[in-house]
Amino acid sequence: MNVKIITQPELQDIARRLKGSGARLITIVGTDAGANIEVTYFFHTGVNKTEEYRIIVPKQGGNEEISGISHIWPAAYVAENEVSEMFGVKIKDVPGRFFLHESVTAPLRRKAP
Amino acid sequence: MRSTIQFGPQHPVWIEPLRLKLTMDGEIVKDVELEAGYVHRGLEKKFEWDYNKGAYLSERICGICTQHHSTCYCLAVEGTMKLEITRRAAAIRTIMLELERLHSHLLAIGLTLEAIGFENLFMLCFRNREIVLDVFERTTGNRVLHGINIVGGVTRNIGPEMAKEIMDFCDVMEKRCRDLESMITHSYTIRERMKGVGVLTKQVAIDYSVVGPIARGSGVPYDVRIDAPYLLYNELKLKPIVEESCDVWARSVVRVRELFQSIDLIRQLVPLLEGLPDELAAKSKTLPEGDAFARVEPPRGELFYFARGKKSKEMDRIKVRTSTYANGPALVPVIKGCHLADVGVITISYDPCIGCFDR
Repeated sequence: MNVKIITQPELQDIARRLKGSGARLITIVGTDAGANIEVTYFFHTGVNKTEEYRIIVPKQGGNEEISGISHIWPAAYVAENEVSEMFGVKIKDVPGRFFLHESVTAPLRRKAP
Repeated sequence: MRSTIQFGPQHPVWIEPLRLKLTMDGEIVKDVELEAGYVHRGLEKKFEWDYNKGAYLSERICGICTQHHSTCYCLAVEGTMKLEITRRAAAIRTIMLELERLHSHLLAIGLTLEAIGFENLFMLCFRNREIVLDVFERTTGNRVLHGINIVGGVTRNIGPEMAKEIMDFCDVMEKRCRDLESMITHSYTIRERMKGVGVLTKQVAIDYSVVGPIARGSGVPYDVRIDAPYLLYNELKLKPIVEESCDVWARSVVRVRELFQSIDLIRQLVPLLEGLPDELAAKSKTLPEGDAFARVEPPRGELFYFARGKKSKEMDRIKVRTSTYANGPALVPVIKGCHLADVGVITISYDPCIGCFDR
């Protein structure tokens, strides 16, 4: 797995470029790495080819916010909502609730060291 | 005057709970809201335990594509350990995956036919599906949750006698599927009821990144077995089965045609077992470390597992992206503008697995 670490503005450009080139969004994966939340985007770009990009979001006590790509790629909608509700990272333009009840807050988020 | 109809969570057309909030103008659906999460079990959190038990757990995400789930989990975890499985284990896994496609497609075709009122054909599909389950029982000891995958290989062998039984099964199955195909494709009523209903255009299919027979029924030739071959698929002859009419009919015809593709693949795979040593599982000398992901093609479309190890027996993170997770949101643009009477047949043509969707 060859993940490239990118910034949020870069992600918007990459999403537009890949959408134009006919790539597919596989999914968005959130992971908790202790001090940071990592949001990794997986794209299928051709036969046996994938591209992976990662945004690192430092934990700020639940006030993290990133911009999403569901306005470019409707396929990202559910995955962005899931990252938001499971890790407590707000994503612009999506409600941030899909699978979980309102009473449950960020179940996959761990305590910052 | 506009009115609102709650389609689900409990509805006779679905086996599992999903809710569609339909805003109606007379008989036409003007707006639709999708709500899921009724069977969310928090399995991704539960995966943060012993990696050897993960295959057992992953089988229980879905009751239909159990073998695909455990295979994909094992491939992802084996990726974190850089573990190569034996060729015999790979062949047995691949045979099981194709058998599973057969029974899942028969279930999906049967349910679609039942949704339009053909209960006899539904029974016929299930009668044919029964013999696939019998083969599973003979090879793995279980009909539904097969439990043969472990990280590093499989636990059950397919010997020469069983290989012959599988080849004989292919002959019986092909004949039965030909009969079924003839009944479906030559039925004026089925064709007229399904054609032009639930059109998911190619562009929308690409925008929503739909997978499996839904994508291939909309003219998108995306099949992980060809686009990212795993196990022994790169040695097999197969082409993506694509239909261009983008409707319920196209999705059903893709499934019917894939029945024969699966039978053909099993016939290609069984001879590969001959002469291979009876080594079923490889032992790893390391623990899961780092990130890896795996993709397989279940009957409903691409399944994705992301695994992160932390050099311990417990996994750090497992993410599961199932087929219905990708296909579910694409229900919304299709249902908007359709008749209320078509909502059931459109949703069932997507072959939704809510257990997979919610996890």
